[in-house]
Order: sequence, then C-alpha cells, then structure tokens
Amino acid sequence: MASDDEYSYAYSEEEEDYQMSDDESMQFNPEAKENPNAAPVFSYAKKPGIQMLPADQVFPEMKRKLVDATEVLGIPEVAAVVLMREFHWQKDVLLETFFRDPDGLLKKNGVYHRVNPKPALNSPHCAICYDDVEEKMAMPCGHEFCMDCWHDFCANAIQEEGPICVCTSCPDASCDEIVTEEEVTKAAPDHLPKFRTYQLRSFVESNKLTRWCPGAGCERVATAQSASAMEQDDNVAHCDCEGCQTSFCMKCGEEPHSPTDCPALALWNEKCRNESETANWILANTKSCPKCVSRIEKNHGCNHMTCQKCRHEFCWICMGDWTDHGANTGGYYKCNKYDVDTGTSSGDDLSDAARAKRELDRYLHYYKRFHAHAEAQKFARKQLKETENRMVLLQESSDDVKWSDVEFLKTANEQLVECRRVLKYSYVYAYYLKPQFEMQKQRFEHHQEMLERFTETLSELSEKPLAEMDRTDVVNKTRVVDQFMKNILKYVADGMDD
Amino acid sequence: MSTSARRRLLRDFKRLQNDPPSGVTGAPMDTNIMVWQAVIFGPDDTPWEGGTFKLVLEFSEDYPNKAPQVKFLTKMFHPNIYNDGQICLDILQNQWSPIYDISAILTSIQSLLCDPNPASPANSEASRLYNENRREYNRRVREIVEQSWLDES
Repeated sequence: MASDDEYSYAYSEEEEDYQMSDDESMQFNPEAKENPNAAPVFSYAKKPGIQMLPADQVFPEMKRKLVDATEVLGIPEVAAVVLMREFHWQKDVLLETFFRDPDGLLKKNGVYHRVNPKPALNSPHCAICYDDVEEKMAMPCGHEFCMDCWHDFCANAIQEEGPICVCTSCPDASCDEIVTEEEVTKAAPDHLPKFRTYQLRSFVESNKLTRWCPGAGCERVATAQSASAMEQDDNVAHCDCEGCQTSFCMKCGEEPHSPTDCPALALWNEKCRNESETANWILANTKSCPKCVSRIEKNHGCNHMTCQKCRHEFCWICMGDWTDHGANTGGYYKCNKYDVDTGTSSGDDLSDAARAKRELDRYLHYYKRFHAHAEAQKFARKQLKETENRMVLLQESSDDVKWSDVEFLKTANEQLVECRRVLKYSYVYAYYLKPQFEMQKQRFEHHQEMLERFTETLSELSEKPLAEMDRTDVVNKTRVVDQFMKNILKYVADGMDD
Repeated sequence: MSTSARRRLLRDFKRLQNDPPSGVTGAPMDTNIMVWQAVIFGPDDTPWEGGTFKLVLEFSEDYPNKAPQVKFLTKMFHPNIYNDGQICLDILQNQWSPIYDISAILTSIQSLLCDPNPASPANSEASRLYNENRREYNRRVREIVEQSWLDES
C-alpha cells in the first residue's frame, strides 16, 4: 500500500497557487500535479471557535460562566443562574441592565430575597399540610414549610413539570421567589441529579453560544467561543458532530445551508409548508417522459434522464431535451434560470390573478429544482453507503489494485452529496435574491449553472457500471466540481462583488 | 399509597366545617375522600343570585402539589366555563399553589361567576353576549339560575 501522505493531501492547501478563473474554458490538467490520481480530501476548514462537547463536559463550562458572573455581581450563584438564563448567558448584557437597576432586576426575576434574605416567618404550622412541626425549611423570602412538604413539592415539580421546573417559584401562592438548587439539595436530594440535568439543558437551550447536536439521540453540544465565532462568511455556522456524524448549522440547527442564510431558509421552509400541496401535485403529475409520455420513476441521482422506452434523453429538472444542455451544442446548462416570459404566458397582465400565477410559477420554478437536488442528494447519500461494496468489487476486478486506488470513488460520492446540498440551497438563495441585483443574479446563475453541469457529469460518471469506470476522469471531475462549489460559495461570501 | 393527600383532605374538611366560607359548601363522598361534591351559591345582588350550582372535585395522590380536577355538574352559562362544566381558571392550572385548600378553590370559582376573564373564553356565545349585549347575557344567566333549582342530579 502506498504511503498515506501520498493520497491524502488536502485540496484546500493548494487553493492559493491554484487560482482557477471561473471561465468555462477552465480545464484541470492532471499532469501538472505530482500525483494525478490523488483524491481531493473533502474538508471544511475547521472553525476554530466552535467545538463539539459531550454533555458532561458542558457542565464545567456553565459553572465557569456562573462563577465569573457571581464574582462580578456579588450575588449567590443560585441567583446568578436565574439572571444569566434570563439574559441568554450574555454576561455583558446582564451586567449593563443589572447595574442600572439591580433591585428591579432581582425582583423581576424572583431572586431579590436570595440576595436580601428575610427572616423566616416562624409560624407554628406548615402552610401546606397544616401540621405543627418543629423542623421547617424557609426560602429566603421567609416562607417556610415542613421538610416532607418541601420534598413532595420539589419532587412534583421536577417529575411532573419537566424542564420548566428550573423556573418553579415559592410554594406560597403570592410569592415569586424562585426555588433553586439550594432548596432541592436540602429537601429532595434524591431528585437533585435530574434537576441538574434540566439546569444544564436550560443552559444549552437559552445560551446563544450553544446548541444540542440535532442528530437523533446524540447528546453532544456545539459550543462557540464567542458570537463572532458563529459569524462565518458563507452564511452558515458549519458544525460536524464527531459523535454521530451529523452536519448542521449552529445558528439554526438545520442542515448546513450555504449559500442561503438562516432567516431566508426559515422563510423558505415556511413557504414550502404552506405550498406543500400545490408543489406535491406538480411534482406528482409532471414527471413522465416528455416524448412518449410514459411515467418515469427516477432511481438514480443524475438528472440526465434516458427514457427506458423510447431512449429519449432529457433533463429531469426542466424536462427539456438533453442535447440543449451540453457544451458541445454551444448551449449551456440553462435550466437553472427562471425566465418570466417562459414561466408564464401572461407576463404583462397586471391583474391580481395573473400576478398570483406569476408568483406561484416563480416559486415552483425554484421549488422543483430545490426538490430535484434534495432527492438527488438522498440518492447520493444512499449510494455513498453502498460505495464501500463497490470499492471492494472494483479492487477485486483486477490484480495489482490497491485500496487507495479505489478510494476516489468514495471521495467522488462525498463530493456529490455536498454539491447536491449546495445546489439545493442555491435555489433558495436565488429565490430570495432581490430583483434589482440583476447583474449579480446573472453571475450567480452562471456559477450555479457551472456547478450544476459538472455535478450532473460527475453524478453520471459515478453511477456507471464498474467495468466502465474511468478513474482519471472521475478524479478530475471531482476536483473540478469541488472548485465550482467553492466558487459559488465564495462569490456569495464576498458579497457578490467581482 | 401515599397518605399525605388524604391527611391533607381530612384537614381541609375540618377547616371547612370549623371556619365555613360564606356561599360555598363541600364534603367528600361517603366512600371516597378523594372525590368531593360541592355547591356554590350565586352571589347576592348579581344575576347569579339564588342559584345553587353543583360541582365535583377529584383529587390525585399528588394533592396539594397538584390542583384537583374541578367540574360543574349543573348546566352553566359563563364565558370561562365549557359546555361540559370544565372551568378555565388560572389557579386550577398554572397558578396553582400547594397552600390553596378546598375553600380557596370554591371561593375563587364563586368570584369568577360575577367576574369573568374575557381573555380566555371557554364559551364563545356567553363571551360574546357578555361583551356586546349585557342585558341578554344577564337574562340567560337568570335562566340558568332557575334551571339550577330544578336540577336534582
């Protein structure tokens, strides 16, 4: 087996001396490289400010922030928890408000007496069970109850109310003082672990710098060092969980969605929910071969379709003839652009109905493409899972083939998944692009077109039977497509300036 | 089985007998201390005057840390009372406190009768009439009062 080094150079390291123009004439020349078949290792630049921590390692982080706040504010830690929670663990904002009106803030958040305790009321009986008991426990607000009632009160809050139990107030009906870890420790130590878990959960959820990994059952927490660590120029705070391999955006918890930003994605998702019936109808009813009208079931990721019945070749996205899509005909992959005139026959009609129709057509144009790439991404993911088997078969297909010689297949597949994802969200981005940026829009669509074209090519190549697999070609196309993906992201990241 | 809920209910009963609040009565069923029957009398000088409204209260073993389920048996016409007799009242939900007892619950419901909370309508017709046509609302309330005398359930 060849040395690891030989096969694992990171493409990003070369970015500087490998400045491709986004000109169509761009060709990747493998001979210029020392190792022509090395697969580009696909990796996002590690964002130094964000790390994934197991839940138990987040606790010290919370503790550290508390100790810090406690010292500055000069209040007990259990009171600081409540205030920090209220201010989403942004100490600076808390300090500013606190020093403007400390008493008002403490009262409003139910921790005034925690800082200014009152003597216990010392009534002979417990106000909950009416028993005359000697041993009672008082909150700093002076309300006292017997230990049994305290235990049942805390147990009920923690077991029955769940995560919100960290906001429980004094058992006395008219009192807003918050019940804290202090009371739970004394009165219901058997429920303390659960209470602490909820406290940690509320820390992660109310803190703008932390987020639970959205992977099913995963208990890791993405933690950012500062708010600026989450501001990345490609509109997404990209996180990869080492635990469950889930990738997500730390700001919104969704799948990484560059080039689209979080607010636009939220709008888009909302729109898709509202329009889902319309879109489903369209998607369910428009997919048959444009020539012989037989129903087509798509079972690969590639959008270059060949009808099994009449051999007609067409594009799954725009349903147009595939011959219009190749560079050899002089016509480029143009189906990513929404053309008002072809989108509707009533371009000049100003009536509300026509406007609504135009708007729906526009939405559907983008949605169809978004959906097509989402489906293709799913196929690519599925194919990725099967890739290892294909790699084994490919290695066995001839003697003298090393494992590292077939790894290009996996790399190509990973690249495909990423490209489909970026393409998918590029349509969301395009949908929300303001019409006045006509020039930028054209450039964006050009980048999109290139990425789409090469992604389809790579998709096609990677789905070929093993016997026809051309390794050099796949490796080259993988690199080219990676560059196009970087190009479009960079174009948006640079504010669409040329 | 937890005994603290039962002990507390027994205490509630004693306190209700020793220090009866005006306009409400209540007692546990003979066979089950966890279920109570109660009557609220319509407050004087209001359209509710003279009404006798029956309720049932069901307590869980978590009482008094959890509020009981309270429901009118008598047919009601009130913005915050559902058709099936369920009551929309904050102290029976999120504002519950373990220091409340049965007499506190009953007197709160009694004051709700004349002082509806328009923010949480449970009976839309009653709510609408209360806001828009008080005369008709009062007439419908007096109808309910008269029906309550006939109701022998």
